[in-house]
Amino acid sequence: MNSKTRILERLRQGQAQQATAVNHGDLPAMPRLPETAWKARFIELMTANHAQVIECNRANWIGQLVELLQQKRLDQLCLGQSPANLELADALASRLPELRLSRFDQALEAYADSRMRVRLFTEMSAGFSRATAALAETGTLVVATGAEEPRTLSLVPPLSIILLHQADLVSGFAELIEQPRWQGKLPTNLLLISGPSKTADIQQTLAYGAHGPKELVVLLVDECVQDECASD
Amino acid sequence: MNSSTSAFIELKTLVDQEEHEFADMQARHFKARASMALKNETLRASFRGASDFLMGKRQSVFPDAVELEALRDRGEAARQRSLAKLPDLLEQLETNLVANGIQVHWADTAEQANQIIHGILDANQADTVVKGKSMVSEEIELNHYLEARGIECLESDMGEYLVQLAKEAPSHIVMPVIHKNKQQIAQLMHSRATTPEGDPVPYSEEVDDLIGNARAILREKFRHADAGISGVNMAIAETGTLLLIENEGNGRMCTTVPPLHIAVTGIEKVVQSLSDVPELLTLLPRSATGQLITTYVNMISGPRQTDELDGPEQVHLVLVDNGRSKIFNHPDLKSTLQCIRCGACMNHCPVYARIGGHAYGSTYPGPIGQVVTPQLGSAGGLAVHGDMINACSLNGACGEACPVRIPLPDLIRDLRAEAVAPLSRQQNGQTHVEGSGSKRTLAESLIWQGWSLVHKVPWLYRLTTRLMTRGRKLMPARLAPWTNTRSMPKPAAYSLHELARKAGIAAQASPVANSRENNNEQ
Repeated sequence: MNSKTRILERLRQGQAQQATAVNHGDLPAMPRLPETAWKARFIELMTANHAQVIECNRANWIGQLVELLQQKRLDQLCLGQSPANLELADALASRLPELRLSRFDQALEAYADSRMRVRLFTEMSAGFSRATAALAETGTLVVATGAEEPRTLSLVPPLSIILLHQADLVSGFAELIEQPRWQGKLPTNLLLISGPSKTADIQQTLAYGAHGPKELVVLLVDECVQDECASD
Repeated sequence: MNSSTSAFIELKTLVDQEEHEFADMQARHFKARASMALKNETLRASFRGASDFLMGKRQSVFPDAVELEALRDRGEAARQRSLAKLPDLLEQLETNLVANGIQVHWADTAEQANQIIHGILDANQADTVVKGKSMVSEEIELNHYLEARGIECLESDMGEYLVQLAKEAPSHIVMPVIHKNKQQIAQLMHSRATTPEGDPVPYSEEVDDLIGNARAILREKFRHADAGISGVNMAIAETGTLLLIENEGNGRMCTTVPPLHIAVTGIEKVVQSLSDVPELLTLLPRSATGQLITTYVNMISGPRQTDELDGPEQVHLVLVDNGRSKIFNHPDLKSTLQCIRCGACMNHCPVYARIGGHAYGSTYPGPIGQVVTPQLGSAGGLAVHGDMINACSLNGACGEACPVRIPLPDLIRDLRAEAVAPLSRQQNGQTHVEGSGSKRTLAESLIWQGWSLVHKVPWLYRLTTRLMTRGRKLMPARLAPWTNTRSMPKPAAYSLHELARKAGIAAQASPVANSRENNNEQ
């Protein structure tokens, strides 16, 4: 008899002993944050967790990103292979000719000195990712990784820049998982990110930049430019 | 020898001395360990500080008492719901993980789990491993096992890394290095860690410097490691997903950067669906560190796909029993398996705050450690860990703090009863904890039988109280070992019955409920 059979047999024995099924009756649902408060709460919590939130709109967000890169004197930025990044790459190339723009376009090979591994760990100073959603109640970005969104891009470079469309905000995790897109298969790596990496392991003193990014910048994009959407 | 070299040697000696003290303490019995810890003022200051800090943080994220209780109800229900279907959920989990390309292994014992993990590493010629925080891997003593077979196993959680550098063990399940202060850590880093360039880490007591130095060292390791090993906070059966929470990013590094990822978890960590996650994800970080959510929640549902550029090429899950299915068969102790490993019980335990994690001499310290440890398949049972269950004042703080309402004080009492259970109870076919009855002594059982008799027979009770009250002057001043650490109680001049009679209160027979407590102390 193998381990699996033995373990399951013992568990079924224990299950059979259960006198009555656990019944907790109807517990009240967890309260959810009303929609009017989502944006403010998201920004408040993100900021409290040491992330920088830049509010922008569909028309000016690339300009805001350019400004940020200039401000931080960054000479390097890495983008994933999402087709949506093509336009961004063109705009950055024309506005910041000195910026070394790289694409995450090679596989992270197993050996330590493989090209992409070296680039990722030694050359990249910033990574750009796109959030698919965000949770207001906890101040959390949701990043679904895949072919166009590498797992390590929001992890290894010291600065992580994540784009979020304001319309993708939801109240919290409970609401997120009710969305039809998560009902089938989940992405290989679904990430919830609530700030730059940190630790309080040494005498309960908070320090940022433990193993992941030291800084997190969120570009919070409003689909509406000025009063465009206000009147409908 | 110049002055900086001699200063370096001095620090090195200090750090070595701490290592020896730790080893010395671990070689002793529980009572000796506890008394050593109590005499160590630095250690006590570290634990007091950490407990106060963590209790305060937790309180700040649960401002509404009514909401907290409702949340605890939901947390308890979520765990019990999953446990009620545990064998089915495990099978469902395996099916869906395999469908997602994650390989599943079952380990009955700690030894088997180690063999399986070593086998996977061996098959992939992996000899450098980076580890994310995993209490189960501590429980099965994986590092020792792998190191003995020539595999380097580096802990990457900042606290675990420092503990490993000091050659000690974690003193807390969430904050592994709370037993050391900044100065001790500065000395440790300077005397034992080397930068990627091979120099000693420069001395600094600044936390940012300490973390920065460790970061630089560990980044090199992440890049070079052949494999990453991690724990799991929840395994979701319906979607075939491993969910891990953390703040540092080392968990993501270990599970993402090396070509091989091995996750190891206890079989109780499975939940049915994504909809079981919200309440537990709300409770776990709040109860553990007073955070609304951890920096990262990492949900892994498969290895790198053909169109993906990064992520491990292989993902394995090792499901560890090590006594858990036996716990599952015990009608009362079963709730031990509800635990989500937040550590709130130890943060609120007045005994833990005073003796610290190492005094318990086990992977899991504090109240949950007292309950889990004797029941683990690999820890030696009550014969080895029977003393730690007495390190409890039955104040109930752990039970009130537990986010999933594990009745920890009841379980500690159950285990005390189990430790002194008579032979007759061991033979009636009940499932028992290993080492049941091993703490039973003739003297103690005679005292309790006498105590029980006195309280059952009215005339004997009256006679005893009369003798005690009238003969109170004859009581000895000391009654070692009881009075070694306590003052001798002095009986009153009159018993309560006598005082009541004198005050004109009539005796009234009242049936005493045969409660759980009454049963346990027999």
